[in-house]
Amino acid sequence: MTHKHERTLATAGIARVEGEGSLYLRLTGDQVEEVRLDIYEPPRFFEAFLRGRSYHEPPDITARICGICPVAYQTSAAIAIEAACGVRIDGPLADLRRLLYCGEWIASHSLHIYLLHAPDFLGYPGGIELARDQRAIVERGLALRRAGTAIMETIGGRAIHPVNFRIGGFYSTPTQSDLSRLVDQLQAALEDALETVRWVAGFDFPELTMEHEMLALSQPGSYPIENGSLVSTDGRAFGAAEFEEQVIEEQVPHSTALHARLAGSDSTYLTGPLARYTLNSQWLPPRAAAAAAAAGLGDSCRNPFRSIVVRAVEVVCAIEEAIRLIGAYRQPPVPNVHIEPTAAVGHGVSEAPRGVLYHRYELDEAGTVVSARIIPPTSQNQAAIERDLRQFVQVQLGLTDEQLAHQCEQAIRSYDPCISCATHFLDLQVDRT
Amino acid sequence: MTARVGEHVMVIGVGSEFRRDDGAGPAVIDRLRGTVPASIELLCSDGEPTRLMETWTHAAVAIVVDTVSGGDSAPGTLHRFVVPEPAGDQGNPLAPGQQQSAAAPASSHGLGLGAAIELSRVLSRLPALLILHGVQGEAFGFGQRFSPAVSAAIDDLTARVRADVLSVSAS
Repeated sequence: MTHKHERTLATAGIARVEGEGSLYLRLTGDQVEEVRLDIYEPPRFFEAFLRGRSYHEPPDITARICGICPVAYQTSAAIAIEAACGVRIDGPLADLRRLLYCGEWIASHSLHIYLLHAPDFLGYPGGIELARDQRAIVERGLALRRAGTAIMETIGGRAIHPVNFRIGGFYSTPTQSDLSRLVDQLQAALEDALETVRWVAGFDFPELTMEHEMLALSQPGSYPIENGSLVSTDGRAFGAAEFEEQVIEEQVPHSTALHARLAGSDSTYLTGPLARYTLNSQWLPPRAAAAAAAAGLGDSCRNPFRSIVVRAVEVVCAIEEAIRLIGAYRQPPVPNVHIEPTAAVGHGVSEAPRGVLYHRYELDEAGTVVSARIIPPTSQNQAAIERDLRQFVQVQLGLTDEQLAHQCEQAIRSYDPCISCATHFLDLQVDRT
Repeated sequence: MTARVGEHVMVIGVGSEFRRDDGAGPAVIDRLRGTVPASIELLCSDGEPTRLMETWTHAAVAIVVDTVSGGDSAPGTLHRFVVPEPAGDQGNPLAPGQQQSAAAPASSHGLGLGAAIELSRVLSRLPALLILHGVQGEAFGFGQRFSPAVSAAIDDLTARVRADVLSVSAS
């Protein structure tokens, strides 16, 4: 018997763009024959769009790729261009970038934890139903998110597509009192974040252990956020300049996104919160480390469903870091370092909330962008997500299509893929033979 | 409803300027600048629901302009809907009763205006008057060029939004 149908899992009247994410499962008897996750990937357009632009423009332009993580795009772009021009930003300007990035982590993770991921564990179709029943809990998540956006608005000028960020630093820097005004809100948010870890640690998690090699940044001495070099669970260590030698992107027939693997390996790898945590848990600040231990996370985490606990711990980490950075902040004498254009190639990496985000720019002597390359975390993770889904689906074959679709959605939500900032729903197609 | 003096009126254009017809909302905001009272706040948004909710929470009147996809309307068709007016059964694509959350999106990138309205309703954060304007889109690929249908409709859409702005503004 063959039956085949296509199902739209979620639709809405007002769509940004439809149909850019879809999952195809082909099942024969009790075997999963094929799992294809087709994720649309925005940056290719921007790579072409950036050619011929001034070296000052990529941070502003690439921030438009993603409304959820514009700071990640700005930061990786700026680091790459600054590297091409032989400049490394350090001191209070680098600290301000880390602080701004903390704001983005807090806002992005809180949104995902409370409105996307937690409802799956609590039996709600979505965040709205959770809010209807447990308003105080969702209000806590929204307050957490506001603490993140408050940082972004104070440093970046606004939370969406911050306008104060530029290569060399910022257009203007906040005063100490500007930042000090955030501290009370952040102290309250820290308590909310700790409560969030306790809350999510009590959820029931499906069993799934993934075996991928994990890739994350390393900033020895601190949890990696806005910069660093790359390390993996299999012992790789390389700098941003080697990224395209170490990360091999290949076209696959079913997807507009390239699939990535690490050089010398035919297997998949994963970047994102689980990789960051597994490779850097020793660098968590004290309260985040204590919260992780109390939540039973251990030194590593290989269950994608438990990523909600890791994200909650990373929110604690980002708030702790924000409070520390504000306490140490002294307004720099100039808001930015002059960057003289250089005909060269520069590479930049940072840890977007969803994982390693790589940018490369080739500039000419006038500072015009000759070529650009952007490798976002979701395209790196796509093959790994498919592999995990295959493993997950194999033990769920007794479910109806509808139940299976729901379980797959939950599994995909664990990775919070950046399907596209303009994507609304996931189409699922199941072929059973 | 007419906003009283001092009450906050805002217009929010939702969408991405890099996704062809999806950029209609921000384009309307550009066209409104300088043509509505200075007290009217003009904003653009990517439509992330908590951000939209926080934006309009303190407004007396919020007018949202977005591109519509789905339904049977021809490209370029203009829609207008007042929230929380009952949607009726006309299949209005802007109806808040269409449950964005009935099946949660797979990614936090998939939450949108419908979720913003429902979440605001649940958390009592809807403005006193929320008007939605939409234009039926057909081209959502990358680029900054509207489809012919949306391009032809954008001035009419702007005029309708402006008329609402002026009618709700304090005299």
